[in-house]
This record gives sequence, C-alpha cells and structure tokens, in this order.
Amino acid sequence: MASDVVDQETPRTLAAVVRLLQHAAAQAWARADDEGPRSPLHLFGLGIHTVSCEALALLPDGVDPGPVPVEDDPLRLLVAAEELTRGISVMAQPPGFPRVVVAICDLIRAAGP
Amino acid sequence: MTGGDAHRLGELLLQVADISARQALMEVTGDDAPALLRTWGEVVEAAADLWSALSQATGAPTAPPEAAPMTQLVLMARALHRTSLRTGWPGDGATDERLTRVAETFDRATAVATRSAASGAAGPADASDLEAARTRVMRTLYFGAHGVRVALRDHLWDLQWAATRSHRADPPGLAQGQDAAQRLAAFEQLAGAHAGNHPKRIGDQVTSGAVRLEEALVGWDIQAHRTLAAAPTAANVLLATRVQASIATAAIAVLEAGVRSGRVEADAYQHRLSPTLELAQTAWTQAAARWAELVHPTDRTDRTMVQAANAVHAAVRELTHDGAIPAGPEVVASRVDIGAATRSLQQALSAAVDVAYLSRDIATSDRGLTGPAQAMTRRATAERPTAEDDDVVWVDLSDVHANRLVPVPDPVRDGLAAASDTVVRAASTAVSAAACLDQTPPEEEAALDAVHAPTNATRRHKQHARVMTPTPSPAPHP
Repeated sequence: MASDVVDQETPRTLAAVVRLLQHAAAQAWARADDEGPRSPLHLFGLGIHTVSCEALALLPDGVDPGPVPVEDDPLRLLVAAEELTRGISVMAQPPGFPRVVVAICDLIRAAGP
Repeated sequence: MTGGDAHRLGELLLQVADISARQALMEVTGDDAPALLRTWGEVVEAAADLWSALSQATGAPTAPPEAAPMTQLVLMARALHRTSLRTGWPGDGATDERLTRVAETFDRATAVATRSAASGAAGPADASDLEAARTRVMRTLYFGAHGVRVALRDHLWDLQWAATRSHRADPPGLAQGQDAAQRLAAFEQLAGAHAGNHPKRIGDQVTSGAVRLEEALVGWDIQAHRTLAAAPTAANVLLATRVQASIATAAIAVLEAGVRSGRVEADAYQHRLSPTLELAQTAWTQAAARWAELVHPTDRTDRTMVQAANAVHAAVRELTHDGAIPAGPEVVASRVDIGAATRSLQQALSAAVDVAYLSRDIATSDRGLTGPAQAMTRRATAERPTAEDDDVVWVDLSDVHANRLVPVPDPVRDGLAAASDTVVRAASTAVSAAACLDQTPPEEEAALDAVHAPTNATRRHKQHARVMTPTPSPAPHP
C-alpha cells in the first residue's frame, strides 16, 4: 500500500530539524539566563538541547545543519521542527528517529498552556 | 478504483493516522487519561485488522501468530482492557475523539486494502511497500501509546495531589492507574522497537519520584565523569554544565518544598541554601555560555551522556513542573519523598564540585580545544580590548572568512578558566551550605530508614559515594 522509498532529501530535512532545535535551545537558555536561576526555561532548554543532540547523531558525518533560523521563539521553532519531521519517509528514517519525534512532541506539549 | 489509486489512498490514510496520533500526543493532559484509556483498545484492534488486511492485499506470506509483533501488542491491549473491566477503572464514560479518529482512519485503510485485494487490483507483493505500511502502523501505535501513558502519568500526579489536600492515603484509581502506566510503558517500548527505535536505553526507566531522581542523578554523575575523562570536547562540557545548572535549579525547588513540609529549616533555606544554590546555578550557566561559543553546529555530544542527561531532565521535570510552569512547593512535596530527594540532591551537589574541577582542567590544560573562528575572534577581542593587544591577530583572517575550527586563542582560554574558577568556588560553597541538611535527628533518620527500605539504587548510590568522595579536591584559585 505505502510506497515509501529511500529519500535522498532525508539528511537535508533532518539537518534542518537539527538547526531548528539547536536554535530553540539557545533561545530558551538565553531567556532563562535573563529570568534568573529559578527559571523553568533552564530545564526546557536542556530538554531541547538533548533532543538536538539525538537528532544530530542521526545525521551522516559531515552534514552541516545550515544557517541559523530567523525565528527566535523556542515553541515556534519546535513546532516547525515537528512539521519538518512529517516529511521524512518511513523507509528512510534512521534508527531512533521515532523517539526524536516523540521527544519533540513532548516538549511542545510541555511548553503549551 | 485502480491498484494505484488504492495504493495512494491507503498511503494517505496512514499519514493521517500518524499525524492524528502526533497531535494527540502534543495536546493531551491528565484530565484526558480516562477517555484515552477507554479508547486505546479500539485503536490497537483497528491497527491489528489493518495489519492483517495489508498482508492479504499484498499476498505476503503470513507469519505464525505467535511470531507476529502485532499479535503480541493486541494481547497486551486486550489484557489491559480485561483488567479495566474487572477493576471498574476508569469505568464507563466518554471516549477520546482524537484516538477515535486514529482508529477510524485505520478502519478506512483496512477497507481500502480489503477491497483492493478482493478486486484483484493489488499488484504483486512488494516487500518494501508492505514494510513501510507496517512501520507506519507501528509508529502510530508508538506515538499513541506514549500519549496515553504521559496523560495517565499526569492524571496520577493530579490524583496524588488531590489526595494530599484531602488527607486521603489511598485515592481511588491510583493503584489501577499505576498498573496501567507500567503496562503501557511496556507496550510503548515494544511498539517503538518495531517502529524503528533502538532497544531499551538509559533514561527509559518506568520508576518515578525519589527513586527515579536518585537513579538519574547517580547515573548522570558516573557518566559525566566517564565522558569528560574520555572525550573532553566543548560539546560534552557544554552539556555537563547545563545539566549541573538544572540540578541546582531543581535543588532550589525541592528544598523549598522541604521547607513547606517541615523537612528543611526555613531560616537555613532562606539565608544559606537558596542564595548559595542560586549563585552556583548562575556560575554554571555563565560557564555554559562560554563553552557554547566553542561548539560548532556539527559537533556531536557523547550519546551515552545525552541519555544520562535525558534521564535527569525527565526525573527533575516530573517533580518540579506543572506543564510549562514550575509546580508549587506543596505540589512538589506531594509528588516525592522530600527526605529521600533532598539526600539525592545533596549527593549530586557534592559530585558537582568534581565535575566543576574536571571542566576547569579541560579549560586550562586541554590543548586540543577548538572553536569556530568567527566566535573565537569576537570573544578574544572582547576579552582583550586593551591597547597593547591592538596589533595582535588572534585568528587568521582566512579562517575567520571560512569560519573554520581553530585552536582556542589564549584570551578565550583565560576567560573560560576564569568562568570555571567561579563555578568551582560557587559549587564548593553550595556543598558547604548543604551540610546543614545532614542535621536530621538520628531518631527521625532511623524512622525514615525503616519506612523507606533501601532500594538497589540507594545501595548503588552509597557504593558510588564511597568511590567518589575520598578524592581531596585542590583548593580553588583565589
């Protein structure tokens, strides 16, 4: 029924996901540092950073995540990252990819109202 | 409908199911847990029907039932449903619209596959197509099971908090919910493995509360030492410093809960613990910002260390947060044995001093440290703005232009060392302040030990503490 084939775009898409996550972590931490040592954003930033590390580990060596995104809201960056993961073919997904998706969704839920 | 049409329609339906499960995962709350549990069995049964129809439609050989992963998942879901009927929990009530949508989408995909097979429109079996479809079904179940489990976890916290406020020891549904959460975790693990995840990893624990916190902190301490000794890269030190900062933030929250529950003296918290922990937290974050400048976007962090960091993140988060906001001290106290959590965090603060020394050693001595040329130039210029350095070029212009990785210039290294010194001093001061937490009356300690029999994790922690603490730390630089 499904016709997922190995997608040459997957590393590029995954690299963009990594860059969005890295920037989201940096932005969350910048806000946390402004708010002070009790800010919940410290832990939020840590959660985003570890997911970015996991996503980066799924990429082949030498793939550059690319330029820094313009958006600076951590939640919007996470939502953009999750939407990008939808375009990654099931048959091309590297081992461990579903866990990264779940972790991103967890962070979006955690950041929600 | 041609075979191609059926193929495309089926693929589209599976995408819809996948996205619906993700959306449920991003939206669920503790209040949704009963409805999600009532609907979960329907989702799994629909997935099993689709799994079977896919095999028939493509003419693929059918595996023996006992060998099929879907059979195992269906049996797990049915067993959970039977327990629900037997115990009457969560009982009759509304179902969850989001999961119902997932089940209905699976049903529609099944109908398409069945019609396609009956009309002979399906082409010869295509192993990769079948595998892709099955992987997507498994992935949807994985997303769904995780969503149900996290909603149930939040629901259980809410039950415990309500019980604390009403002074009830055993709130209705708590034991049944805990049982269901354990079984859903097993389901999630299995579905995840078939959906493309790695086997069970560090941080996938199903424990909770003080035990989970203790396991996470001990695991983190061991792994941070191992990784920083074996691979002293800027990316690894960055993660270490950020985790230590989060541990300090968590300690502030848990000790504040300790004040409310009478386990921590208010005066000591206000005048010694809270200020020193805040200083330590700030020192860690400032050092982290320096280390971050050395990290290039392609720099990888040690995978095992990341897993250990994930475990700390999850354990701290479940105790100290309500959604996006910090949980109040009373809520934190209702979620965890404050005495046990305090002991774990005190141990972690002691271990943090050693991590601080390790990172300072890397900053001052590791000649292999590199950083992106542009960031290194900016930082070096900021560190040495004095006139005598005006003619010094810290980084070659061609490297700056290409933003290559270059050895860390001296001014940058000096700044890192200074920030690391500050961390060492602040972490040591925090440990001294936390010494007052040792002053638990002996009779209370004995009573606590009787109530909270030592777990395996506690024994490991004590063994680990014996290994880690005898090493005398050199005096920090003035």
